[in-house]
Amino acid sequence: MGARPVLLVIDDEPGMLALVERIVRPTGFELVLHTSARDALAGLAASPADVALIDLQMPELGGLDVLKAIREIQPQCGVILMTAHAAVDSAINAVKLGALDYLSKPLDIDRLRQLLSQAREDAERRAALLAAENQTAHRLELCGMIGRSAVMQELFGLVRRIAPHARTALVTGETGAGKEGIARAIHELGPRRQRKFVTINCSAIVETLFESELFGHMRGAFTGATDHKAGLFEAADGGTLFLDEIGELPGAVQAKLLRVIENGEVQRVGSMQPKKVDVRIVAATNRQLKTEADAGRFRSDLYYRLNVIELAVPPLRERLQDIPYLTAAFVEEFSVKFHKQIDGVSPAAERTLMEGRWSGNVRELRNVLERACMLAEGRSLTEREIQSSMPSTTAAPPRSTDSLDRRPTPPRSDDLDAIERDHIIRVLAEERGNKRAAAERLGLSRRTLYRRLERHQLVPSRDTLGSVGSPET
Amino acid sequence: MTNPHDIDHALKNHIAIILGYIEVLLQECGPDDPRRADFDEIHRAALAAVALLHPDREKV
Ligand SMILES: Nc1ncnc2c1ncn2[C@@H]1O[C@H](COP(=O)(O)OP(=O)(O)OP(=O)(O)O)[C@@H](O)[C@H]1O
Ligand SMILES: [Mg+2]
Repeated sequence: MGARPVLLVIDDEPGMLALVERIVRPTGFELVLHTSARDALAGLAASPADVALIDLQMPELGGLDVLKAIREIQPQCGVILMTAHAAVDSAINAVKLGALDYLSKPLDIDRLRQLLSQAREDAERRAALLAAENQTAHRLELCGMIGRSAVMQELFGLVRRIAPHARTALVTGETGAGKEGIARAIHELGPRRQRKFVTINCSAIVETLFESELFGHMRGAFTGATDHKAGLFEAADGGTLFLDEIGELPGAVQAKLLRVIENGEVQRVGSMQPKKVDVRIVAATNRQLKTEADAGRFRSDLYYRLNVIELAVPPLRERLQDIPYLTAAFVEEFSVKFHKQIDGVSPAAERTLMEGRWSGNVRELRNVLERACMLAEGRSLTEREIQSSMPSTTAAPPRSTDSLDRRPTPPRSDDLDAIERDHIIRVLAEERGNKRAAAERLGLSRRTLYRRLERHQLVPSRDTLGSVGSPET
Repeated sequence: MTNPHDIDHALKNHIAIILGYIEVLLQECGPDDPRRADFDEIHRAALAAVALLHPDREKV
């Protein structure tokens, strides 16, 4: 923990605040003192506290209500209550509501100091854990790409292994799955990271201008060619050329591209002089290029040349366990962008995200979270904020058990495994993550359900169990 | 403030403040501090007041 720990003290009696300050000042806490509970709560969002010491009897808002409010808006803040009228039932209530302790007035000074030093240690331990988690997170990322699932970790490993050597690579995957991110990672992790990464989107170029764009032209080569111009190959010389949506490349250009790859030479349009270029080529497509090649719509020789190394980015629905991590990263990004203090999503909101169809994959998830962060009013995104930010095609069907039992949602694929996986996720969601209840409904033992969850990679590690259901249930 | 319950509450708080300060002072002054005897007197009186206000509680 970098800064000093913060102690928030709320008591309607100013003399009490002064006394606490007198006792606590030497212990190194930073003190925030309030005679009004409402003011204190209003300020809490902007300046979080590590511990709060709260009077039980106050005129405008009782200590128990303040305790509840703090548990809600800042659960990591430890709360100690104090009262001049010790009563067993309010003490029990306080502890049930999550208070650290309950002190009677006159205060036992040593006990107070002891509690605070304990709270301070807890805060430091939490900070250390968070730092360790951040480090782990960083280690598991690939050039800023997040992917905790086994399939993504495997893909990241493949990228790390091929990046130093590959001359060409083909990145495949659905729209928004992260193909461009993978292409950049190949560049960043390769020997050419200091050189240029040049992108061309093949679907955005007029057919007649392709050759000139890629290979350049000489003055007068065609109407409008008023000057010599280098193409993207020459611009990317020494670096990487990213050919996005390569499936859209016209046939004639495909042939020329293959020649450039094979000879390492380009010829500007209108020039007879071949020019040596040294360019690494990464191509991407969301089409089934093999099918296109078999159907004669894409040159087979070019296809085989490119797919020597194929990196397939799996769709988001096949790696649901990445969703909480992606969500956390995007929420952080947009809370900074919109100057809002948003720490994450509510458990119900997370379930909604886990159930989405995500045909637009990570890009769609990112867009939904951007909208939700824009709408957000509290410190965590609610189910409603998520739902109203989701296109209806992405949102899962209503979760009423009744209608779902009779009208099962159409499976996302005919693959039996996928159907089973979908079904398990749905039943778990309907049972609000309660595994015992879900197992019962599925006619499985709890152990078997666990094994299935593992097989479908729905429980990658203990820390993400909460996304599907808590381990105790 | 006329409600006896409110008066009782406020009184308990004020005595708690007096007692708290005197305990801090006592902890801070060494055994040979000349003020120690005076502090002890205040402390005793404050404790007696607490005992009156909290008849149900053990001596602090
Ligand atoms: N694993 C990931 N971690 C973090 N952000 C990601 C990840 N995958 C994708 N994104 C983000 O999602 C968005 C879409 O990713 P990208 O442009 O790489 O997708 P794509 O597969 O190239 O899509 P398209 O086929 O539509 O071009 C980008 O904003 C990107 O930053
Ligand atoms: Mg792309």
